Order: sequence, then C-alpha cells, then structure tokens
Amino acid sequence: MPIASLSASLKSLELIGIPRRSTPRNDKFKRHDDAQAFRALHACVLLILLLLPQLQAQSAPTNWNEAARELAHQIAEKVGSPSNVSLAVKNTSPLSGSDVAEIRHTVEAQFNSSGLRIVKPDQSVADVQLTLSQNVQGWLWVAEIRHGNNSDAVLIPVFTRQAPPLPGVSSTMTLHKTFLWSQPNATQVLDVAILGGGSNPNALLVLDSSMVSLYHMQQSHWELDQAQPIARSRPWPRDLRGRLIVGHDRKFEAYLPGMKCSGSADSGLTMECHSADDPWPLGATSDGPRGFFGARNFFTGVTSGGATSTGAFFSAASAQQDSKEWFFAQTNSLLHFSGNASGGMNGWGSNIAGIKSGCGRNWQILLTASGDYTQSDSIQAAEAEGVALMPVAAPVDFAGPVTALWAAVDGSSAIAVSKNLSTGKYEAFSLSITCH
Amino acid sequence: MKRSVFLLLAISLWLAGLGHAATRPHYGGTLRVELRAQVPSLDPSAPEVFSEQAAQEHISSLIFEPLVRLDQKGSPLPALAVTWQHSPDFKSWQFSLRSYIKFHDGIPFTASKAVESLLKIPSPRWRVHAEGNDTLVFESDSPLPNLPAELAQMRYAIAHGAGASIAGTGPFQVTSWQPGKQLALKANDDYWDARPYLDSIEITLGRSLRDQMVDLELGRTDLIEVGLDQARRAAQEGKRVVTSSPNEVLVLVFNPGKPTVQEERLREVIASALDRAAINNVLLQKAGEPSGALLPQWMSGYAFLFPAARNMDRALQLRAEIVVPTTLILDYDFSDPLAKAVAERVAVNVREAGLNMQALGENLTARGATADLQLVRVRFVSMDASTALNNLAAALSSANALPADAPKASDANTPAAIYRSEHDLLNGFHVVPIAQVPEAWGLSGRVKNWVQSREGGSSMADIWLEVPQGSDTHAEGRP
Repeated sequence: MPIASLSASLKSLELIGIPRRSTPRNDKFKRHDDAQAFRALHACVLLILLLLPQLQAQSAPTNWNEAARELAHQIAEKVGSPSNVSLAVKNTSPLSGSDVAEIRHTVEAQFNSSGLRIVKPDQSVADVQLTLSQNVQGWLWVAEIRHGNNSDAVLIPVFTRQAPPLPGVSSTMTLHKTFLWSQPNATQVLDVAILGGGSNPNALLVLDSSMVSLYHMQQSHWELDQAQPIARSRPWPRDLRGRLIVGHDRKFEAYLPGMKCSGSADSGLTMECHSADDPWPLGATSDGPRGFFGARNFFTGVTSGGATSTGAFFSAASAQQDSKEWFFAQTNSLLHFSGNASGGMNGWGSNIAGIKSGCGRNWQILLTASGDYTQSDSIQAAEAEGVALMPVAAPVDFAGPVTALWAAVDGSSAIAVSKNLSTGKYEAFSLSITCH
Repeated sequence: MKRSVFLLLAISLWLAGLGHAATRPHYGGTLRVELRAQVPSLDPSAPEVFSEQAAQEHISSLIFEPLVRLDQKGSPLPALAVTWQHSPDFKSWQFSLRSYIKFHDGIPFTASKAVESLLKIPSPRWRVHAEGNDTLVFESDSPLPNLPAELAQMRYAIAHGAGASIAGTGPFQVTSWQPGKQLALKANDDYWDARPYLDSIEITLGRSLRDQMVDLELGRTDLIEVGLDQARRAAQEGKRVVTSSPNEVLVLVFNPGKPTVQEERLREVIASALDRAAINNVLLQKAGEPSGALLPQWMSGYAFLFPAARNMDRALQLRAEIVVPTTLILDYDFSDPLAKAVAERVAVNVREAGLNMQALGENLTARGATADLQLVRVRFVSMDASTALNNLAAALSSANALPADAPKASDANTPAAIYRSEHDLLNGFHVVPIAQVPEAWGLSGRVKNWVQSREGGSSMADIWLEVPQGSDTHAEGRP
C-alpha cells in the first residue's frame, strides 16, 4: 500500500481523541505532533518491514564507529594532534565483554586516524580513561583526560542498541509458541487473526486499541496493506480487551467494550463500527455460546447459546466439542467448571481458551497462571479430568504478562498476546499442541 | 509408569509456574496509604518544602496533570497538551490542548484556565497567554529548548480553584481534605486516559515511619513509606518492600550569609572529610549510592566524574592552612530520622578533621536557614537531566543555599553541557553532595500491578487490589 494512501486512512485518526484545532498553525514553528508522528511512525513501520532482513543482519554488532570518531576528534582537540596518549577502558554498563573488546578496537583505530598514538602511560603526554557508561537515554562514553596538571572530560552519547531476541521453549506433548507479530509501537494489541490459515499464512489482521490493520506476507515479513481506524467517543476502559472473529470468506467482526465493528479483508480492508452491546463469542467461532461483555474488562456473567456461568468472568473455555460444560475464569479469582455446583479451583490466571489439538483427549484448555501485569507469564495446557484440570505439557514462557488469550478461528490453535516487559511492546503468538 | 513420571514432571513445572504470571486487573476497592509528611496544601503550585517534596508530588500526581509528561527515558509525551511546536530560536512555543476535558468540578479545561493556573508559579522564565480555547503560547527573551520537559514537572500541573475545592483533571478527585492530616480521593469516572481500577484512596498524613510499619503489619494499611535503614531488614523478614532508583540527593549546603563558612578551604575540608561510603553502607544500609555529584549516575551517566572518596590527607592539609571557627552548627530536618543519623555522622567525620561541628534538629520549614550549614534532601523533579539540574539549582537558590553570584544551571541538554553546568554548580564547595537516595515503599499483599517507576512511586491509576478468593467485588460500572 502506498504511503500516501496510508496517510489518508490515518488522517481519520484525529477522530480518536485528537481533534483538529481551530487555531491556525504558524509556519515558523516546528511541530511535535501526535498524529503527524503517528503517520511518520507508520511510514517507518513500512520501511522497517521492507528492510527487516537487512536490519536484522546489521543488528549485531552495533556499529560504534561514529561515536569513536567523535570521541577521538574531541580528545585530539584537547590534547593536540599528533600526540602520544595512554588509553584505559572501563565498563560500568551492561555491555558484554565482546562488545567492550570491539569498542576498544574501534576507538584505538579512530585514535590512530586522529593522530593520537596509543602508548604506555609512562610515555604519554595525556592519559585517557574511557568509561563505557549508561544514562537514562542510552549509552554514554565518558573520557577523563589527564594532561599534565589539568584534567578534562569528554562525554559522547551513543545510540541505544536493540536488546537480543529471547530464547524459545520446547517440550514433549508439546505446547508450541510461534511468534506472529510485534507491534512497532507501545499501542496495545488486543487480538490478531491469521488469514489464509494452515502452515502458509498469507495475511494477518491486527486489532489494537485504535485500529484494525491488515498485513500481507512478503518475502517472510509482514507488510502493512491497509489500516482502518476505530472512531470512539468515550475513553476506553483501563485493561482494554477486544476480540477478532474471522469467517472463511475473510469477513470479520471486531468486538470491543460497547462497540462492534464489521468488515472485510477480502479485497483491501473495509470496516464500519458502531456502538453495540452484542454478546461476544466465547469459543473459536461466532457459532457457539456467547457472553455479554461489560464496560470494563470482564464478561458480566450473562451468557447465551448453552454455556452457563455463575457470575462475572474474564474468559471461558469449553473442554470438548459442542459441550455445554465450560470452564470460567471468574473475576473472584476462581476457575469454575459449570458442571460443578460447588466451589472452584484457584491458582490460575484469568485467561483461558479451549483448543482441539487431536492429541490426548482431543481437547485441551490453555491457561495462564496467577500474578499481575508486572511479571513474566506462562501458558499451560491441561485436560479436564472430571471437574479438575491436569497439566499435559510443560508450560511455555512469555517475557511479560499475557494480556489476551483467545481460541483461533481454526479451533486447533490459540492466539496469545503478551506485553514484553523488556521492550514495552505487545507481541502476538500462535499456540498449538503436537503429540508424540 | 512413563506417563506417571511425565505427569509428575508436568505438575512440578506447573506448580513452579504458579508464582509468576498474569491475572487480569480487578476494578474496585479502597487503597489505604500512610505518609510521614504533613502536606499543608494540595495546590501543586504551592512553594515546595524540602521535607515534604516527595509527598507533595505523589499526592499532586493523583489529582492533577501537567501539559506534558515524560516517559522512562525522559522524553516528553502528550498529557493535557496533545501537540507542541517551537520557533527555530526556541523563544516561542505553541501548545495545543486536549479537547473535551473537564476539571473534577465540572468546569471545562480551556487555555485560559491553564494560563490562570500556570501564572500562579512565582517568577517563571516565560510569559504565557491563551489563543482561543485550546492553544497556549509561551514566550521568552532567552531560548527555552527544554520547555516541554520543564512543563512536565508537577509544580506546573494544571489546577482550578483552591483549598478543599481545588480541582484537577487527573485520575482521582478530592472527596475530603484535612490539611496535614487526611485526604480522601475517589476515581474520576470521566478520566480521559481511562478510569483507574481503584474506586478510592484514603491517605493518612503525618504518620511516623514506625507507626506506618506497625499499621502495615496489622493489616491496617496497604502502602507505607519505609525508612532506608529499615528497608533491608523488612525485606529479610518477608515484608513486601520495593525500592526506586535514587530519586533524591542528600546535600550539605553552606549558608552564604554566615561569615564562619565564607572560606572556601574550610568548605573543602568538610567535603574531603566526609566518609560517604560509611554513610551509605551503615546508615543507608547500602540502599543508596555515595556520591560527589548532584545528579544520580542512572540519570546523567557521568556521576563518577565527581570524586566521592574520603580524602583525609587533603582535609588535614587544608585544615592546617585556615583559621578554625569555634563550633559550626549543622541543621537538619527534625522530623526526618535519616537526616538526623546522617547529620550526626557528618559531624563525627568533620571532628576527625579537626573542626568542631554540632548537629541540630530544627523545623527547617518554619525556621529557615540560620545555621552555618544545613543537611537537606532534594528530590529530582524530572527524568530529564537538564531540567532536574535546573530545578535543583533553583530549589537550592530559593533556600538561600547558593551565593548570589553562584553560576546558573544552563538550559543546554547535551551530556557535556549538563556536566559543565553541574561542575560549575559544585565548584567552590557551596553545595556538597553526600549520597543519592532512593525511596522505599512497603506494600500489603493485596496491592497488585505496582510498577516501580525510576523517579519513585507507581502509577496509582494502574494499581488494583486483589479480592479474597471466592468473594467478588466486581461491579459493572462506567469504564
């Protein structure tokens, strides 16, 4: 999709709490503008997606040359060039030993280029102690220069390096976690849906707090095709939730608190949203039981289509096909089975989803564990043993809390969205089970 | 057999995983908070008092919002202003304001209301006026490259009204207020950035740290301040204690009006005699950082350039060169047990260098600076190093801690320029940093989603309270 038409789509984002102003803009000002930055960001996303393979190739090691050149230049200005200097490098930052060695090598090369010959301290006219430090904005190189009786300092801010990717997880009746999507900004992802299905997904629909976006797979990376904003008149609730349900004809429905959007991703992306309190599907498709969602972050407990809850709940999962017996992750922190009149299980999180893997008893329930949004998380697969749940595979770990867990439209997998606590960004994964 | 072993393994892995993970936040409940400070006013523009600065800021951030806020890297983000732009020379700025916002008392938030609020700050460096309902224009005779970061300070938060009826636009609104004693807040259902999870907050002021700890142990409160000397022990006893990055600096400030401390070499004797490492290890229980710098290492990245090690040789050498005054008086805030302990240790250090010093606890708020020197705790009001340093210099100046000819902090925001500015401020030993100090909080088990920010505290709008299992306080309501 051309950037120009993307910008046109995004213009209507100004409906979302960022209205246009009556005051005319003054050209003498440089703008720091939410909407403008947002458009620029999306243009950058396009560019990043296009350049992703190249960027990945360059992500390690970071090129320290520019900082080293500036450091050498400033030190040469202070001690004069050519000069004999000693150099000691100290690392007080989280940089690894190999990074430090690489930086030292780069700095030495730039010193040579700037006429600074590195010698032993007893032969030098100036001693340079370079500390690889860090401040709130990123890396900071601090060079203390002792030159005769004088001392001076040179401070060089260095751009921040990307964090390394996290290792994956594997086990036996194995719950697999497959990375699908990382939101380029901090906007909360509510749900994603794979279009095209199977082992060869060719399109991805992403529901976030401000829009629905359609991405297409291009040479092993997702390229933004089109985005449709979600206009709203009231603030979203804290801990916003949303659900995407996609039909085989690529028509989709997006459910949000007090709002429903309907659209199609068949040829381009079209969508219309309106205020609605329609019940949300609880299972993988729109055919099964539904639950009414309140104005906050939970289902009210009123359901239709067969599943019966005893109270408000965060999520629900069926333990077998066409079952009227469902597990509910209730808002009172108990996991309740509708076939059991008394009590409930504790120790679980509030996100559950049922999938039909074909392994074991055919159906498994995926569950998060208990804690809060400041912690890392895991998802466990379990099978119903009467009114109890027994784990059937080792859990998969996430680098932050799982904020959404929904059965995928194919019924055999689930979509999990997690907020990566290291990056602050939301990541979506597909969860599936294989058996041996 | 194989299946049993696997199940056992799976159950073990499962149980191991129970301790960490995610439950969705619950709406509702009242968070009970206790603070030591006796905050006299809710007005964010009220003059800052060193000993109450942290509490004032924490309370203000519940009720009020500035035009701009800073992210965890100190970069400005929209708050009540959604966009801003500046002239090429940074002498003129235009801020466009968020629409459809109301103060808690129902009055619409407009540019003219923002101007009224901003003009309550004494002697700002800029002029401000409204253009229409939703644009503010700031002008200055000198460049203001850091204006958004400057406006992100809570003292520039926008307020309407006064006294108990003061209103902000923030996540909580005042329901009752007894100055210095008690504050009750309820959730702002119409908060533009989503209603908080909590229904209400009750804050008890003027509670000693010891009483706070007792109340936490007895389940009478959810959130308390913990003295740094107690934090480690409390954590070892299994209490839930969280500590921020250093967000205050303990400094000695010399009284420029006192002839006894006019001699720079005398001030250097005192600075050189300080045993900062012992103060941090013993009195701060290693929770702080001994520092010869004003800004903490995590913020500036260069704090180690200012020497913090004790140099008794230098102290004794200088001591031999000067006329020694009879006794120097060091004042500290009488209500602050940490300040008392540190001041007494400073006096011991200085006596080891051959000077007489007496530490006296005083009500510094009421009495002002009358001693030869004071021990004060100054809070960093911004994540932006340049703004933090400027504000620190301004706070010290307003407390008459700096001589009239002391160098002014610069607006420049490169690390090199900030370093030069800090170097100049510390030159002459009018101000002598001792240690960077974090803040510590004790939390009850039912407090969830506490995300310790670097500058201290947590976003109260994101905190929720765990409900006892089986009971359900969830009520349907407005988002």
